[in-house]
Amino acid sequence: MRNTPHTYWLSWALLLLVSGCIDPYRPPEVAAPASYLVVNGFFDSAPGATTTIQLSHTQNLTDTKSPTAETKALVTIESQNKAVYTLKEGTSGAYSLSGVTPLAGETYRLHIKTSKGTDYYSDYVPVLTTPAIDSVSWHTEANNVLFSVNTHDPKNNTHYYRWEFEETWEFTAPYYSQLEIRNNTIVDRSENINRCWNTTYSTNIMLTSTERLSQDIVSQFPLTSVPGTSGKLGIKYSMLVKSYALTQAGFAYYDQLAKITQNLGSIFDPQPSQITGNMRASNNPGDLVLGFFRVGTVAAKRIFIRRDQLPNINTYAGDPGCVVDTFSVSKVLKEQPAIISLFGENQYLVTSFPCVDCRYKGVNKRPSFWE
Amino acid sequence: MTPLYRITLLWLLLIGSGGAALSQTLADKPISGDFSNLRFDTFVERIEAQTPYRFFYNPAEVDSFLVDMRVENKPVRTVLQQLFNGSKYNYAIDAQQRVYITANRVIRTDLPIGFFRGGAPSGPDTTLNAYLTQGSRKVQAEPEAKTYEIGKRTNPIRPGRSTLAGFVRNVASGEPVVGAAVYIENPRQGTVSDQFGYYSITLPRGRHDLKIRSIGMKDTRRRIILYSDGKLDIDMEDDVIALKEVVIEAEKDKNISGLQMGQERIDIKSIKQVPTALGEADLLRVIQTLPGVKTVGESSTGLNVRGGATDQNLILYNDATIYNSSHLFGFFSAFNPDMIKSAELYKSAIPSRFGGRLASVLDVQTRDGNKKKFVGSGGIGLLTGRLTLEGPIFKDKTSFIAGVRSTYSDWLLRQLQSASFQNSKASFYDLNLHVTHEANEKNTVYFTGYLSNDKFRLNSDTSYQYQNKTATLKWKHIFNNKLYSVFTGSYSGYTYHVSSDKNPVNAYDLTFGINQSQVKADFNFFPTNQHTVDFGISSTYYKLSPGNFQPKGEKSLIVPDVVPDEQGLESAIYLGDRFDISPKLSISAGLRYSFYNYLGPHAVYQYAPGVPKSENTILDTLNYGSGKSITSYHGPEYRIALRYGLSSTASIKLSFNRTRQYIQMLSNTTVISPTDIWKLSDPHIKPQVGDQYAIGLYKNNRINTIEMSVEAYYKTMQNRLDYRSGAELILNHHIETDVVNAEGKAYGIEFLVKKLTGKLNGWLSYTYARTLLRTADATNNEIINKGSWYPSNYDKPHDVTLVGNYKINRRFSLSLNFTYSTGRPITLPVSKYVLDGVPRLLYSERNQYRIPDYYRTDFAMNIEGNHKVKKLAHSSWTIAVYNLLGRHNPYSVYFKTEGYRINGYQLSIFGQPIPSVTYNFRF
Repeated sequence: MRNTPHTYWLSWALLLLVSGCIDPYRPPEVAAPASYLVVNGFFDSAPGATTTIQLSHTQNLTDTKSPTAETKALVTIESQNKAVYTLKEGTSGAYSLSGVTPLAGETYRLHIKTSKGTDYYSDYVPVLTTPAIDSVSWHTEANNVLFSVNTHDPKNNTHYYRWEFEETWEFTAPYYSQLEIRNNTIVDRSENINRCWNTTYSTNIMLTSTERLSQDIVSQFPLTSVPGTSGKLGIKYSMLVKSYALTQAGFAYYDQLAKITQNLGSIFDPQPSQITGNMRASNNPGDLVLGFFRVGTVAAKRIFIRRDQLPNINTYAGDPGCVVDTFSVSKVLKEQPAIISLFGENQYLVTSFPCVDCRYKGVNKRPSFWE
Repeated sequence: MTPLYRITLLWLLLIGSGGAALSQTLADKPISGDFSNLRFDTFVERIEAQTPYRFFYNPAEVDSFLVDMRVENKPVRTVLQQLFNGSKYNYAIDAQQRVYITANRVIRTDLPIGFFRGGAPSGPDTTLNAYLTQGSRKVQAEPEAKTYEIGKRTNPIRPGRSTLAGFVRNVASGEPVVGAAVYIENPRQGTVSDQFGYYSITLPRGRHDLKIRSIGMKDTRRRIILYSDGKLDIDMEDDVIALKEVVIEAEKDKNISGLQMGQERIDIKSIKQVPTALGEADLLRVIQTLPGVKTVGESSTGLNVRGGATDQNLILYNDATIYNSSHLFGFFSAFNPDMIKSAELYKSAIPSRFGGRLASVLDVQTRDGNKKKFVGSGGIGLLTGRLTLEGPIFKDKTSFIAGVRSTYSDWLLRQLQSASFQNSKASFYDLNLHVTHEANEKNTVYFTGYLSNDKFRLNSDTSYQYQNKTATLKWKHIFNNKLYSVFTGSYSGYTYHVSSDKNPVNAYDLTFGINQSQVKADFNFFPTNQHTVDFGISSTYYKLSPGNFQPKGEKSLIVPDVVPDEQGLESAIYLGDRFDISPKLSISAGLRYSFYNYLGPHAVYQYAPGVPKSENTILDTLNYGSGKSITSYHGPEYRIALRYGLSSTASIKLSFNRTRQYIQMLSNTTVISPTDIWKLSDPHIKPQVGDQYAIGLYKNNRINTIEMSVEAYYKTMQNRLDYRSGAELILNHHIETDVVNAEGKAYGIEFLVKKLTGKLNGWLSYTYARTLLRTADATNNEIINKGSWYPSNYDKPHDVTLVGNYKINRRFSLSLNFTYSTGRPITLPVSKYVLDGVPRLLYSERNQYRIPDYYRTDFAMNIEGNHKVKKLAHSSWTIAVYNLLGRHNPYSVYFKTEGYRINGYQLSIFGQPIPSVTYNFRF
């Protein structure tokens, strides 16, 4: 159907209504009533794994520094059967424990005694073994690659899953630089800065519950969609999916956290509220502690996608805006541009560094897992 | 005129009068006789037989005139004087004993004094003036001049009082006229027609000039002689010539003389003149402009009346409850403007016949179909189209009105090139049918059917659908002039349906439903002129399906989950009396007693006493059989109002009322959302009880064109529900563990100035109001804000609204609206922290901050077609701009974690001026 200008205008009117109008909002200057303890990390029950608990503090909204670490605290993991494991303090609020594997069937809690003498305890939590991920699947839709994950628990008792993923992709800079300037002379480039790898981590909380299903099966849970034009799919792309089994309480915590911090902006938003987790101060309920302590394993699965597996995807990432010029030797030495190659006698093809150096957007060290 | 001619004439007159003087003595012989129930011509024959008088008249003019009198020895002049007094007829007797009977105009049998002097008559001569101006005066409607005799004729008229009753109708369509004032001026006594157009007034027997006024209708009057109880139906004409745009319909001094306070009556004309965002006249938007009514946001048709929650309004559509009053995410209200006659909102002093909700009653009445001829109307707006047809089924007896409204937004969404909108759908329709059947003078039957349906899917694989269904059958029976009754049976149903089928393993269907059946009998009794009594009984049966979750398709692994049905029976009896102690003082006292039973079959969890209810504190499960009463609640609801007239233009009113509510909506979003569920009171969730004290001061200017009022109220609410952080409301088998028992208080003062008539009309209101909540119960699952008072989501203390309309001429009028209010309370983040590498927010205590203030200006132009009475279709255009200044009024403020950053946004629903054009027609 052809769009007449008239229907087009009406459609825009509707679009306006549906999408509304979103402006940035700066909240009034609010000083936080207090700085609260934030607990990150979990007790990894995989044999031989190292558990790291990171302690930090909440910050004012306008604070641009990285969070203050809580140091010199006594951090222990205690079992209901009175076993106590003390974590060793590392740098900047990280406390770690290795060589201890939690026992299935036992419950554990985290106990933190800060240098100021305040005790914080988590609830006792069970050891959850995350079932292996069956597969990470993908398909193309329009010019996007859509990723989803499949898993199941043959014992039918996991029910609550949390997902994270890491994306790594191989890419090249627009121009291959054969030469570099070293000690004011033009020499062959010793290091390959054309081919790099970049990694990003998922930031959204992603959860699945199979509570309402007759079998503990997660089928085609959508993780993300990668546009062909993102520059990630040009050579080879890899996704590592991690799965964490959760208790019902853990699921509820992350679900709430997701609802009030990421899925907002609709007409029917839920009311935000204070969400703290399963830890509390032992003698002052007004002193909040944020985070959710859990014990269990992580399941992971990695997949790779080569460019030739995506025949219908247009991976052109757009014009990077590289200007190539021809400089004489003296000009090259004077202005120190990125040199692509020799171009005739005493002339060099030059450009700006981001056009030859992939390290602006990644690292040129091949990751160990790269196939 | 030559002097000679003048003299001749004079002589002729002199001779004539001399002869007359002679024969007059003969003719003045008194007559006697019983002239009961005689046609006028028979009466004339008998007079002519007894006397030398000869009568001249147009038989057509007097064929409906019945003579009913008895005379003893009275001269003919006196008899005629008595006979025609107060009627439209006039008589004149000339010198030859010729009697001329004329309707409406007086015949002069002699020339005016001073005629021959050639100048104007000295001194007032009303008969002459009447003559001279006759040509330009419009001819009076026949019924106004006629004298109606009410009841069985007696002579003399017995002393005492009798009751006159009947219907006030629109003469063109036969529709009842609601809220018409029917009164006599001396002594001042009056009443108002009810929703059926029915009125009943008790007056001293004798002659009266009964006046009938209703805004938008031509004022009319009836001359009556009240002998005993009787019936008089009154037809009123539309005020087509004046084309008055009326703002609030009620009789002009109702706010002074009426007992009701906190009541607003809005008719369709004022609804149509208020500009709306999408061009279509919208009842609920107009209601939201009234003082004391607030809403959380622009896309919400939810009403917060004097601090009440959106579920605390009883929204009645011809007596059937509407559970979801919104269409298309709340951009439209569920009422088709062509079907509505009027709506009445009770904010305080709720009459005792209403019950079941805490804050207000919105009583929406549909029009009755045209009883005389088939007509239609409709309109095309930015997103919707509508068509209404009405007409007689049996002329003057049975009529129908049927309306349909739908949107073509679905089609528009398909036109959008964007892929995300291609997957979106949004549509709605509603259907209305209303049939009125007047079986006879005493019995009228009404049927109303209503169906509304909404469907939407916004760029996701989940589709939503919800539906309101109502049916009402009403039988009005008039026992006698002093007593009538209305028997009503109604059904209201609300269902919603959510389904997802993109992933076959997780495909599901979720349904929720409410079925409500109600029977009630209401009686109105007018024992004396000072008392108006109403009493009645009602019973409502609720059946809720709180959630039914089913797999969809064969591959689905969804385990069916059905939250067991809930049943409840709410019954009430009430009695109210309005007692006019003196013209200055009246009191209305009502008592409603409501009973509620939560009925089996149901399994009820027992929790450990004194500790918060949670799954871990369940001690036992008690199973109740079908129809067994699980728990019952009951209590009185007082409805008392008092009026004291300070002067004829000022009064003071006081009221107290208590209301009880046994069904509540559960929602943890700030606006009404389609997936909100309703919950009956049960052993754990106690009914809500509200008390409201109100005082008001009312003042009109001398001619009742400007009304001023101040009303203040204080209100308490018990057992309101609030929610635990992260409450799960859908498919929750033990909802009591997720709700928090809260108490509320609200207070405010409302100032209103209204100008009802004239070229410039409208109203200006200012409200200061607070609504605060508190969760102090120690057994609550969560104590919100440490148990201190916190503002509710719709606590917007300052509110100024101006609704203005200026009529440039009869075809062209302009409207301007202005609204300002304090921003609503929100919960803001106070600090941030990093969890799993990503920043997250820690929020403040609930509702401690506010979004920026809200103000908006709207503008509309109404253009009527020409006013030829006979043409194919009458049409009008409404051109409106909503949010004329394009201010980005924030609807909500939210923060999102995006990547490694937290970004704050404000969402404005209508961030630009929204122009719209609506074409309305009627044929």
